Amino acid sequence: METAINGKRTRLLILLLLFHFSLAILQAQDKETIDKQVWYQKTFALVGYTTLNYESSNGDGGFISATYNPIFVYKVNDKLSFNAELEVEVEDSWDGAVALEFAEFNYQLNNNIAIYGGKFLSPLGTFQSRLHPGWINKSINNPIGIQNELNGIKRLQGDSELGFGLRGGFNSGSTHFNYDLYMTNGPRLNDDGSVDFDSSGGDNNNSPAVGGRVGFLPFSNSTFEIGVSAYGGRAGTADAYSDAKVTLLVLDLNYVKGTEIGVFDIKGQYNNQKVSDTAFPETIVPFQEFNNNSSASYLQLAYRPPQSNFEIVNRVSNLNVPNEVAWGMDQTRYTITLDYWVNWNAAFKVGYDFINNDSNALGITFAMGL
Amino acid sequence: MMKKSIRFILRPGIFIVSILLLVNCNGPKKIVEEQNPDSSLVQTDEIQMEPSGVQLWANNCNRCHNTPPPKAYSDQEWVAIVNHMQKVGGLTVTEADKISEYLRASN
Repeated sequence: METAINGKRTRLLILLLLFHFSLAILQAQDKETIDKQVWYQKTFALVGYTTLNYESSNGDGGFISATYNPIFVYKVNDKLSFNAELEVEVEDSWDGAVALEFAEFNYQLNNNIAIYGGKFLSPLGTFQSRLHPGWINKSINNPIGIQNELNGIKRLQGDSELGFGLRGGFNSGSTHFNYDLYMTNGPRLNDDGSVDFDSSGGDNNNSPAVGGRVGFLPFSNSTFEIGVSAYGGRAGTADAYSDAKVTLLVLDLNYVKGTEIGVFDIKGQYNNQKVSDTAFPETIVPFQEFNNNSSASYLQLAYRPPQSNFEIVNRVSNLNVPNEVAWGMDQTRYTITLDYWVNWNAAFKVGYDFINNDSNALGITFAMGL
Repeated sequence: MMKKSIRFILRPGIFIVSILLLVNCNGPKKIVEEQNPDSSLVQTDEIQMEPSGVQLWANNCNRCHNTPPPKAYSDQEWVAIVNHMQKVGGLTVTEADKISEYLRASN
């Protein structure tokens, strides 16, 4: 009861502080500055992407899914905007799904800060927030443990979260920083020791989680970027795993370099998840306390020769989970993909997945930005 | 219970303080620049060193995906799209405006 009251007080305090903070920013701008603000008419664009996916493994092959992801972007005026993405997916069994990937409002406080809220893509690392759309992801699939949840293997961060935050960027000399700080309903701990980050089912403990990412671009005329993300929150309820906490540390790397011999593109991410030691009823040995730490990573190198429509993409992705859990297994995948770009935003991708403890797989994907 | 209460306050407190520090890093400088017209010479030097719209377009779009040609979308669409990408890519408004102006001028 007291916990619930404290949670409500905390939320109220945060809301009041944010309200006050927003007013202070607005009041700090003199009238002339406000008069200079140009208010556009509302502008809108319908963008998005679509994919068609084929997979063959162990002699069985077929088209496994088709997706259409319309993204609606509205700029209401210089300050206010709203963006949303739907995912419409159909699988080979004709099972279909429509999901709201994100729906977020943004209010631009000044040149460097925007406040946002709603359902937003997880800002941890860069794969989910920037790189996962089919026509941007150059490989035939997603890195295991970071975005891939096939065959019951969980991932170590959410797709989307429900909450609010602040984000933006600023320059310091010739360097650039970008940042994202946010609060969400927080993680939820399952009986098998896995963690759900998607805020599904609402806040289970009146304790918000806090996360954020800082990206650093040391050279203003370069695409080289390194990022550090962190996330933490209570995962249990008053009745179960009450003291359990989940923390995530995520590192990411990005570098794209055009040279006389072609374009080199390096991307990588490392997720480290720690859950407080506790016992679960649905682990391999039930109710036995263990060290519930997991990690996932990928490193990708792509090369595109000059004036060529072909691009070759190599990726190694890796997942490490405790021996005591059944929601995943240690796995390493090497994926090689050949892309043929038919347009700046459309590619045929043919790839092969070498998996250390599972059947290898051939994948063919057509992906197009819209 | 007391420790829990402190934690409940401390965590969002750190969050808010971080935000305020960020604001203070950027806010006063802008106001000083606007109130001091004599600083225009200094600003001119700074502007000359800043990347142009075409440079920002080439460097920032390419961080994640192939660089879109200016004619890929209409002027109205570019305004909305660049505004969205500014949030995704962590750009300043000034940088996004330069990219938007370049794309619309080249369209």
